[in-house]
Amino acid sequence: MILKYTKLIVVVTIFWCPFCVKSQELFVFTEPASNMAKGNLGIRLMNSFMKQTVGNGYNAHFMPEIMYGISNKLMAHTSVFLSNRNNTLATEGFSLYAKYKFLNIDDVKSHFRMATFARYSFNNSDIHQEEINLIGQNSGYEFGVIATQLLHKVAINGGLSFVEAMNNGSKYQFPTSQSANALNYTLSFGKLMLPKKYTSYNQTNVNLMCEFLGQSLLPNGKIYVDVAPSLQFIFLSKMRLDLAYRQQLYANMQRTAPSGLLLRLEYNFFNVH
Amino acid sequence: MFLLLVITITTNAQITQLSLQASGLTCSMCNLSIKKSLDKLPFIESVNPDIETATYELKFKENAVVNFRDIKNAVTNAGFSVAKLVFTINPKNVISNSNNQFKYKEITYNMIEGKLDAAGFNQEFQVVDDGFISDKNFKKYKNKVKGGENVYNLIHTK
Repeated sequence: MILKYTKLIVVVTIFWCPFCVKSQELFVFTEPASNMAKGNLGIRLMNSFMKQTVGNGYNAHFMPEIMYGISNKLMAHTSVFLSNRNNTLATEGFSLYAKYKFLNIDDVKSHFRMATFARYSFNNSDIHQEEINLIGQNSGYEFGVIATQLLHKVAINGGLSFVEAMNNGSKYQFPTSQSANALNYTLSFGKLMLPKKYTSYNQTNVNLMCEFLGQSLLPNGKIYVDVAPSLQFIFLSKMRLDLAYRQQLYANMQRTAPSGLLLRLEYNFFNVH
Repeated sequence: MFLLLVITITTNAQITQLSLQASGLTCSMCNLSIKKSLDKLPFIESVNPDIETATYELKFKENAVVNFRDIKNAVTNAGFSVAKLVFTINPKNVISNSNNQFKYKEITYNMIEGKLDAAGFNQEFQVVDDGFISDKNFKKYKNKVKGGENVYNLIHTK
């Protein structure tokens, strides 16, 4: 089964790449190694609607997020998690994220960059799955590295991180029967579809992306692999709309709602400081 | 005595145009970040971008002291690099000019290739210091550039 899906990923990747002749790196489910400009502020409003594996219900999450460029090498994010899992929209936690760009090789219309990042998340909801997810499900921390290659309008992004889950507040202990740590790995491709030629900041940009997201629980070795295609619009060179669908390709760990839609709006403010 | 007087007359040379190309970007959002970062510099009158080539034509306020390193830092603070910085100078009345260097507003311009023709009209130079051209191209000039906060190393382009 694993082999079958691994082959599928390789085939999709190989066939996707020749079409990724030109693209961008503003990925939906992963962060690139690049940072925001120093002094710029970004606000994101993210909605996800994930179909529950048991029953016909959907988990709706709402996650407002603020991002800030501290320097050209360091940026920080903070986000709040709200969910309807208990039938009303309730605040379940927050996340703090910092990213440091340590390698920057720029050339005209291309770059190779590497960054390291760390995340801390707090969540007070019940722990109901084996998957460790610091974006709205688990308390814990994560640290890792990201590498991004931009070639004209094509971007390829890879990430590897270690994640450790903790108790969700004082009420929900992390189950001793489950693996509390895992490796996360991601591979993302993006392509700038429109405009073909830039003439103005007011042109709407259209990006097409495909991301592969995986996790291996340590030490029991259970894994999941998801694919997440997305369509992205950038308006006036400062506002971004992401429409994405995340689909589980393979999993041998228990997950409550792995597949579903994501909608995100982002607005960037320049030179706030 | 006459020679000494001539040498110490302050230059009236003016930077009439400056064009820079940024590297490391393709998208218009990144391009706008650089423009907004350049807009903040106090000596800049206007920034005219060509998004497709990531090139910016800068105009300066009258009598303002133009600082190339502030321009470079504005680009790097936006998260990108300078691939090329070219400026045009009017050499009228430039006096402190030798074969290898000229001075303008306390700044020494060290010529790596070519020289300023003090009797000529507007002339174009490219800054070849570290951070003002790609790392690959800087290797060509690495052993020739002279350091210092008020020193720039140039090649004559037009």
